[in-house]
Amino acid sequence: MKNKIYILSAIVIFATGLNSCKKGDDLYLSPNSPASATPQTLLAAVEVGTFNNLEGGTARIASIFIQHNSGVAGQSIPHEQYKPTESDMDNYWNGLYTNMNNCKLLSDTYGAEDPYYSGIAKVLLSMNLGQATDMWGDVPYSEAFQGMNGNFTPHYDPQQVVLNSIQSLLDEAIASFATAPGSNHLTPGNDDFIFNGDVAAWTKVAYTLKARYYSRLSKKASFDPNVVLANLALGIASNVENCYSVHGTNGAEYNQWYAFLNDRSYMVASKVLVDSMGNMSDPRTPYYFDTTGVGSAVGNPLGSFNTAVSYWGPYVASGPDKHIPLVTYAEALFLQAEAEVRLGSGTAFTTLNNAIKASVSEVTEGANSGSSIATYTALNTTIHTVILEKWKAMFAQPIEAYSDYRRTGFPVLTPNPSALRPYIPQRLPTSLTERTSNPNAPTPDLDVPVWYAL
Amino acid sequence: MKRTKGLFTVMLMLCQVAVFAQAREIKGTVKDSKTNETLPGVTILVEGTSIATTTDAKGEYSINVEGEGKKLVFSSVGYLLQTVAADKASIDVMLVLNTTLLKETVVTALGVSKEKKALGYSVSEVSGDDMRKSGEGNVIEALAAKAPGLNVIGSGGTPGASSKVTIRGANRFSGDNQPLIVIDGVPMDNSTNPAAAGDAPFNPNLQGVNQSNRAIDINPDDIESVSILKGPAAAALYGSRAGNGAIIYTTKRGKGGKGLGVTYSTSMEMAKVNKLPELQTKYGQGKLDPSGVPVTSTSTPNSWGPEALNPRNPYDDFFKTGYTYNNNVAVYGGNETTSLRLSLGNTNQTGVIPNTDLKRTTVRITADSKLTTKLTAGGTVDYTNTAVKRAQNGSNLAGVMLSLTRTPSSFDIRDYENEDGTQKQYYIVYDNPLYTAYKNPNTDQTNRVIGNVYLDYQLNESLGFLWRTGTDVYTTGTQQVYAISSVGDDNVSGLGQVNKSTLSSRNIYSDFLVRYNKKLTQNIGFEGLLGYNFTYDEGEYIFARGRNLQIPDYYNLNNASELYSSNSSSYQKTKAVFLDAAFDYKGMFYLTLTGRNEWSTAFGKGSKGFFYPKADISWVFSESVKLPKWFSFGKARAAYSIGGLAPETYSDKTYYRVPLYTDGFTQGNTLPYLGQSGYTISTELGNADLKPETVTGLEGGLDLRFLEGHITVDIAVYNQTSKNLLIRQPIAASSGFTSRYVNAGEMVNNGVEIALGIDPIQLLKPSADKFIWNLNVGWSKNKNKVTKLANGVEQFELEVGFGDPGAYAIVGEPMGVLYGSAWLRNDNGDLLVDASGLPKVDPQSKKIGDPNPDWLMNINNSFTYKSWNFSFLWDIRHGGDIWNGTSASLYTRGKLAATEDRNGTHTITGVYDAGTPLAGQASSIELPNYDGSGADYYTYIQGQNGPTENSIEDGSWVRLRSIGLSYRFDLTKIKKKTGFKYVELGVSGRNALLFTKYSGVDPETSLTGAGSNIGAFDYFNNPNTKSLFFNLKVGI
Repeated sequence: MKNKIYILSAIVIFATGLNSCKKGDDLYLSPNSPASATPQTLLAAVEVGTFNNLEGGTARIASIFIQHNSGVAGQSIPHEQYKPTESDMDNYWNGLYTNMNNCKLLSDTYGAEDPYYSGIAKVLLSMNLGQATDMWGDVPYSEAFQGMNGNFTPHYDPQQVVLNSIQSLLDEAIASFATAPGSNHLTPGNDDFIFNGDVAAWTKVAYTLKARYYSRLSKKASFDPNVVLANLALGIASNVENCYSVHGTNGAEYNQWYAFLNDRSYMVASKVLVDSMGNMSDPRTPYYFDTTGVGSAVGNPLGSFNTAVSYWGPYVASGPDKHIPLVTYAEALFLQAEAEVRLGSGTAFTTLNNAIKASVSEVTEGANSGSSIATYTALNTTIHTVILEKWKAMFAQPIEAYSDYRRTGFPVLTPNPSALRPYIPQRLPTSLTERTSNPNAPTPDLDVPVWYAL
Repeated sequence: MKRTKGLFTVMLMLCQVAVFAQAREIKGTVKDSKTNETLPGVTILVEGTSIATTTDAKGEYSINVEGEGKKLVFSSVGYLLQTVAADKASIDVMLVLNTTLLKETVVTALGVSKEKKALGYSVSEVSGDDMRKSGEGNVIEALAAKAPGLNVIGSGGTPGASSKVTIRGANRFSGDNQPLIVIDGVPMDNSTNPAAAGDAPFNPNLQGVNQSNRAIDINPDDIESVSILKGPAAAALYGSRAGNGAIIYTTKRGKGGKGLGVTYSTSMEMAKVNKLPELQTKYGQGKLDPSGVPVTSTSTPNSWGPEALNPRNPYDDFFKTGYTYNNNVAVYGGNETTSLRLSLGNTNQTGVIPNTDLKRTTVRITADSKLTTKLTAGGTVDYTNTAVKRAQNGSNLAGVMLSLTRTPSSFDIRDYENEDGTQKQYYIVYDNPLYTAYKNPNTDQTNRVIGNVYLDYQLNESLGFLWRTGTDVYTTGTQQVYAISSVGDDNVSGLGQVNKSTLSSRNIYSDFLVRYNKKLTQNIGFEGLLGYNFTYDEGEYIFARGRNLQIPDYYNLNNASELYSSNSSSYQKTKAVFLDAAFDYKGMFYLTLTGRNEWSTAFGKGSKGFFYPKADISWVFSESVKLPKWFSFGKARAAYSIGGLAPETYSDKTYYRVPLYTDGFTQGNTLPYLGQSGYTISTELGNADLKPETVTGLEGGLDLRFLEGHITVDIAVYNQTSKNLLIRQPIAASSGFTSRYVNAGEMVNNGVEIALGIDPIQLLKPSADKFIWNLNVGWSKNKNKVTKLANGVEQFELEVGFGDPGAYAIVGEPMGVLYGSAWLRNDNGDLLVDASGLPKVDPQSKKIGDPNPDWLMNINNSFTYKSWNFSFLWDIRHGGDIWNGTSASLYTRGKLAATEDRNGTHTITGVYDAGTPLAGQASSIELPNYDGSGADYYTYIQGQNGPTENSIEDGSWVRLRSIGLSYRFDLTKIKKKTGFKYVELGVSGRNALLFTKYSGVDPETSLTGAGSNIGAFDYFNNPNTKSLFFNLKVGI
């Protein structure tokens, strides 16, 4: 009988020990994710997203197309051979559009109370959207970001419309930055990695971006170089005011050029750029490329897959925390020089030389003034030389060089003879998911120029 | 007539008188042919007389037989009659179970025993002994090739590697496709839990180590039998867990009656790698110089260099013999009212990869007690400690196979460590394989308690109650280290890393059943079951990581200069009521109706419950139709059911998440970032109208037995339609989101299963009691087809894979097809080539392979002669493509044996593509095997520079999965009492033979393991093993 009591009590103890279960909302609301965010957490996140997008895969592909670099190993070989696949595009495209969605969410949700947050969100949105239209031409914008409302198949806006939208976004941002601090419920601080909440600096970036994206229209009849100059007059006016991505040494904070070099090492210096720069006669060469031990840069010739050549140097990969230029004074000066040449201004060569000097100074962090190569005169300052010099300067912003190449034809590049296409691609293929799940997505061939290059 | 009868009587009397004169005693023992256990109570009749006796408790008998030419007839309930010539003084007999007439029962859902012939659906049974014959320590892998319709795929031969089981194909796109695992009526967690940081950008299944499926915590020696409930009909009572079928393990329990019994078994296994990709060792590390001459270079991982001076095969320096020692002790005991079983099990395994091992200790106590004549109580407590040391696997710069197979023959891996503890590598971003094996172990330890208690009250003959509750609680602590100088750390920094994680899981299951049996009329019987069921599942996971270690070989987080941690948890509760009503008509026609209504918190607050019905019929036509004598038994059955599959928790809403930004090439960026935390809206839209996924099953079958059951045939055909399948429907990111979680997909599984059993000797010569041959053949074919995804979605990738290839769901194709880059072809299938004759790559990816096998077959032979048993099991898989990414990579690197011939050429024929000067004309070029251009035969046609289609291979196999010989000494008959009842000795082989065209490791391989719905990826997967083992079992 005693045994039976033991058995029964053991069972009862066992069963009552099972009672500590969660109840109520604990069972229905995720303990892992919040149902809402804050302007600070959203801003920090969209800035990091923008860094990742602007330094990531699309920039690397552009850098191969534009022959700054060569893809000599792994998954960079298809890019060297001009056969980027549509499935490769998903990560890049998704990165851009989900980040833009959050920029818009930040602006829409908190814009009325916190215009500074809204302004920064719009500048970031325009940078991401600019990259999207540069790489893919017509892209969704006016119908985009409506997934919450059930629109999963947005129409694609013509590139002309997208570029107009970028101008409007930047105008709105500039207006937001012009509000008084007092009309902001919250103002950005450390959560704005780029300028620590300095809206004056953001305003200059916005004007410079307006000049950048307006210059894309250079082939169009309505293009007026004076508009570029007018915007630049309010834009970045020194290297101190440059807009950089900000990185750290923690694994989550790596600059993506460094991370790619470190993880993959699939890309090396292109002989085309190294030769154009006259190798070490350009003070930027040992900053762009790792010349340690050799004393000069060794570029991979077009059509080869040589890995015993120069990898990236300190300008983009001195360490995981190396900042990367997003919008710079040098870029502004090159845009100005181009506009001045188009207007027939006699002082364009001065601007071009200043642009080269600003670039060298920025790349070498003041170690070299660049005067040894800033030797253009009125006679040899043409669209060709301005864009050629800009191409050399835009090593860390290869999408700028790629866009310039397509709208001006400069610098003159020979397509890789061993590539699977006989031409340098004019765009990237439509992302696989976009093609398969959005019937509105166009699928142009890679030799179809984007609108502004027509 | 009268006269005749009279004469007969006289003759009979005369005979008797005559026989009396020659009476003699015959003695012997009667045993069960299968279990070899002695049978008490067997009736022995002298044929044609009324002289009879029965065997005693030891199965022994003695009988007096008079006259010559007499025969003895042995009979016992449930056994086939056996007639033996009474021509010896000692006659031992083996009785064979009569599978035709016996009222066979089988364990069904909720652990309820049902009469086999009443079932309208398909259930397969596997005995614990058959499972143990496999020699597998994992109770899932031990079921491989044991039942038709079951597909078991182990992920590799390393200790603790998971095995995935599916029944009748996959039913869904996301979530588990494996059946519910039940032990003694209580579900157990069989999940596979890869360690994953909250900021991990990639699918953790692609790299890391071979994780365990948690059923590995069960000691196979504790299993008495297994019921495999195929399809949703059999498992219907499990409601939202029924969709994938269920596997019900029944454990051994104590035996009431007399005294104490002890069994002890021990085994020793020696394992070796069974198959590896073949490597060339002639040429060493290097490349072609610009003039095409091979030169040595350590700046390349490739082996395109000159001939190696003292070439080594890295395999010889790496793999070793793995040993497994198993020890099990079980004590049985009891009295009239109480029975008890206590078992202790210990497994100690070392792997074929250095520094890998598994140690498992299990303690299991089971008790049952009749407290009163009506009330029975009982319970089981099972404690398991499983500790595994695992090696790096797969797509991983510290991966064992990645760095081992790429090792140039000019490099000696044995000298792997510098004096300061850093490694010696042949290439800067690969670990030395021995260094990574010894210095980067992944160690984990699981402590688990599975227990259940029950009270069973049988009020009267008709009405009974069962209350049962069980719990399954475990904690797994995992540590992964990367030594300073290893490049396996997340950032390939070589700075050292330590990951520590703890997973706590708690599952509670409780049910209350009311049983009611009654004969409704003379001919109609009723068995009813009404029940309530409650489940609660809780999981908590904490991950911590330290990077940039300071002191070598010291793995505490405080040794790291960069720390990260993340955590997640989930809680889910379900309640259900159910009814099972079974009617029978004269024991020949059966109808069972089942319904279950279930409420789960996974569908969000206020969600209504869902109903899961089932109906099945069974018609024993041999009872109602006159059949020829040889047609002993015939049953036809049919079932219709809807089983469910529950969604992931918290997927009814769109939450904010910590974003992870990566282009797929780097670890990317995430937050906290420079001291700031950040959130973005999830890239996936939640769904407030979630429904369960359902599997509607329609199945029919025949159960036929011929010649007194010497031939049995079981045929099942089925159609299973899965609907409302939850899909992370990829949506155009331009909507702001990349996916939606929607009930949209549909897929269909159609199949046939055939099980055939013959005992040829008994069939031909029924009295041949000493030699028994059982032949069992199983064959199954399942055809899966995805019939619908979501509006506007024709395909999507099941899980993040390599991109190219990916495992996809594509409308019109089987689930999980391999999708990737392919050659450009014309309508005739000819390669389209460019102006130089080089094949072109199709700009669009396409289906390049189907990982689902065409059919599976198993052939088991078992021969028993006296105390000898010899058995062997063939396992055949036909079809099932595998992506041999290992091969493509080793071609590219000049390591595969095929690349030894590097100066020759291969003829490439095709048709010139449009836009070339010779468009439309046939082309033929001699492509150099290797010329360093990236467009040669080895790197482009076979290797990674060309499309992924190159590396799709057929994964068919024929394998001798197990073979074994055993002998049993019966010591009960020996006069000198030793205290032992029996001693059994055996020698067996596992995977002794493997025939396959697959060029890589054993095609029973899976990069992603049991926790993933990706099949058939082989990218530097760890190899499988074959083994020889010896075992000894003693009964006291």
